[in-house]
Amino acid sequence: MLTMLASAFTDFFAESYKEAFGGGMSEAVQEAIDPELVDFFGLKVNPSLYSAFLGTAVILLACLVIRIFFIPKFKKQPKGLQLLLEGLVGYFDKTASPLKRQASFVGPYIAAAAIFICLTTLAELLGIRPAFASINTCLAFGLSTFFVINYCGLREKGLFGRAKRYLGNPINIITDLAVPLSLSFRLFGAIMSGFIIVELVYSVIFLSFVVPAVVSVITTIFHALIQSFLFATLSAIFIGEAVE
Amino acid sequence: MNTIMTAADMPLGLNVIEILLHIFNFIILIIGVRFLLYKPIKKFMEKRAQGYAEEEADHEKKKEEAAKLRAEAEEKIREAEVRAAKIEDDANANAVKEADAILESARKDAKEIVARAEADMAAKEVRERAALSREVTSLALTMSSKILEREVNAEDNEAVIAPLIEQFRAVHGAQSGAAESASANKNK
Repeated sequence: MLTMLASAFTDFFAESYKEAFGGGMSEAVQEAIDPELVDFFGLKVNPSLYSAFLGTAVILLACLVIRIFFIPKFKKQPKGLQLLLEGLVGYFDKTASPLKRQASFVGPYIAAAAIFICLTTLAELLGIRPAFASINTCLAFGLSTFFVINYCGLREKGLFGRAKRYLGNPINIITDLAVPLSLSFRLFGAIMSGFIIVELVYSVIFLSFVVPAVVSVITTIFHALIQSFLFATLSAIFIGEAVE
Repeated sequence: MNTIMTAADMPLGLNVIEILLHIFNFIILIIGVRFLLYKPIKKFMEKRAQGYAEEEADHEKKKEEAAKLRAEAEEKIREAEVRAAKIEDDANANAVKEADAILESARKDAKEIVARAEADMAAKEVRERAALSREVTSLALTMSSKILEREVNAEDNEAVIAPLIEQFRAVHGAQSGAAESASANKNK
């Protein structure tokens, strides 16, 4: 009786909801979570892979242009683009500097990760599917950080020093295994949710005029900056922990 | 193999090949960012920082040199001051000595002048005495000739002699006054 009433209520609610907002919402969510797979050399892949390739291509092209045309013209007193680049490199260098020997590797690593996360998420504003709206991308980044953590730990402490950490306190095994998962799921949850919200807003006709200007700022720009900052900072912290 | 690749079988479209492709993509990105962007900028920044450090060191060195030169200059000034004080003292001593010498010679000159004046005075006195005695002699001659020329009575005698005596007295008085003034000069 009660269940019947509840289901009747939800049916009624869904019906009235559909009448008010149009039928595109569930399709939009479905499309965001489980997009139509695209072909990649005979392989069915998530379109996020193409977004990731596009992001990498754009970033590398920009780096090349900067390397060839701007870096030779750098002046002693930074201004404009030089100031921005020096600020970025200086920030990542400072973040990686406690890692001593590993700093020259970890600095570029977190810089690349942060720039990639920021740009591919901001690509959503251009209507491109964010690369991190796929769990595969997020897991790839989480696993990369996991590899880097263990590589740096082994290089700094050796096999025995690394083993002592787990033998002395076995809970550390779980702690370390949780790191890639927490990094991946944080990225996936944040960016996917922002993506779904924006898709939802666009799917409803009467919300798609002024509201996206506000919603995009909150869900896309904030997420892009915060998630890239978080990923870089957390990676640096975890690597520092392994090195210490 | 196909079962792993089909996204529909895995939750959330999990796909190992896709993950590997993403990792490969990420590695390329890291390498590119490192060699195209990160390293050149870091090198530039380090070079600049090094340049500034060098400039600072240079500046520090120059400052030290300047301080040293300053100390030397101050030392020189102090020495010069000491020397100047010594020269002044010497000059003062010389001046005092010279002044003493001048004073001494002036005193000597004064003494000489006084002595000469005294000698002059004595010579004058001698001359005057001689002149006086000559006058007295001529006066006595005149007097005696006048007495011999006429019959002399007592009154006449008195009348003639009295002015002569008066004259004599006047001369004598002048003479004794001159002698007195000469002796006074000598006492001075």
